Amino acid sequence: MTFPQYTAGITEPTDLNFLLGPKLFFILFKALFIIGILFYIIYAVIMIRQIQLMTETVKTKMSGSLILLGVIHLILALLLFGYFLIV
Amino acid sequence: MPDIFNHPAKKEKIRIKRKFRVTSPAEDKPADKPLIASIPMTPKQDNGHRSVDHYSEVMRAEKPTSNMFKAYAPKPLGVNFTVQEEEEVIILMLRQHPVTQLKWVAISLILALMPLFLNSISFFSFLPPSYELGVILMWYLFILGYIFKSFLRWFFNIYLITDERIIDIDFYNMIRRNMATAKIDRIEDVTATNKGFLGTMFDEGSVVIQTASEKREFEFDGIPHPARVVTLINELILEEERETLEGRVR
Repeated sequence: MTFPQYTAGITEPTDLNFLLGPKLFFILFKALFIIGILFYIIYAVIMIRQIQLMTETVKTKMSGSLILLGVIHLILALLLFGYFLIV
Repeated sequence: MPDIFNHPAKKEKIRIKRKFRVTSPAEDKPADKPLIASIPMTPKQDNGHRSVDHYSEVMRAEKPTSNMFKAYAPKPLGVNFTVQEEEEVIILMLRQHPVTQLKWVAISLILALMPLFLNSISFFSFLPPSYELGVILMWYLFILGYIFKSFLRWFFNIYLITDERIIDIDFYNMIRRNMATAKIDRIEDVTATNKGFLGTMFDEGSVVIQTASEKREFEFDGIPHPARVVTLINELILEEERETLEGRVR
């Protein structure tokens, strides 16, 4: 039984468990990070919403800047999510 | 027929009458007579209320500020809150003293330096380079989120003292906040405490305000110049009592 998609470039013995071991580890590793980043994106969205509500409660000259910082923070989280998808 | 109704003498008589017009006793009374002789009357605003500089020694020594990062911001410019009344003026805006935020600043610095330490011992050597970069980027993103959350918590935890009320706005975390107000004339007791090394060195402490409102106690925790805040609140209480006696209550 051969699996070319898993064995390409591998010159080690073709034992299935051996081949899938490290690959499975990295797949799980990547999946965990993607799930973690997704939760973090939700947190970043909640943060922006809370900033909006607080700037409505207390209006200052910094209100716009704080919302912008929250948006930048969310964009960074989205960029990192995209990075983990393509890696 | 002679015109007696427009005779010049009659007009002169009318002119004299108007010059020595008799007024009623009520019109003779001066408009601003102090009810309490010991309290000097000072110029009032159009709404009948005095500016804070007239009755507060604490605020007389302070200039208005537009710096939004100050923990002790007298007469803040460009600040409004949602339940502010039309003629209500914010006299003092308070936040926790910056020295109370050292904990999360120190934690952030340690966390920021940790990847450098872990790299030096090749902690991530088992990961491919692209994964290692991703982990480090994610680590710094989490630290950035932690710093931003801590800053927002400090920035939006505000204590406001207006000429009518005290307001306590608490921003606990991303999903919980609280706002409590009490009128100045409902304040019963005000206490200031400084404790600890940092409190003494940086004049940082707490002000506890007992009220007759629904929320019985307000605590302004970790604020700068607590003694000054207590003095200001006492001055505001006195002014509220004056307003009640003089009928200038809003």
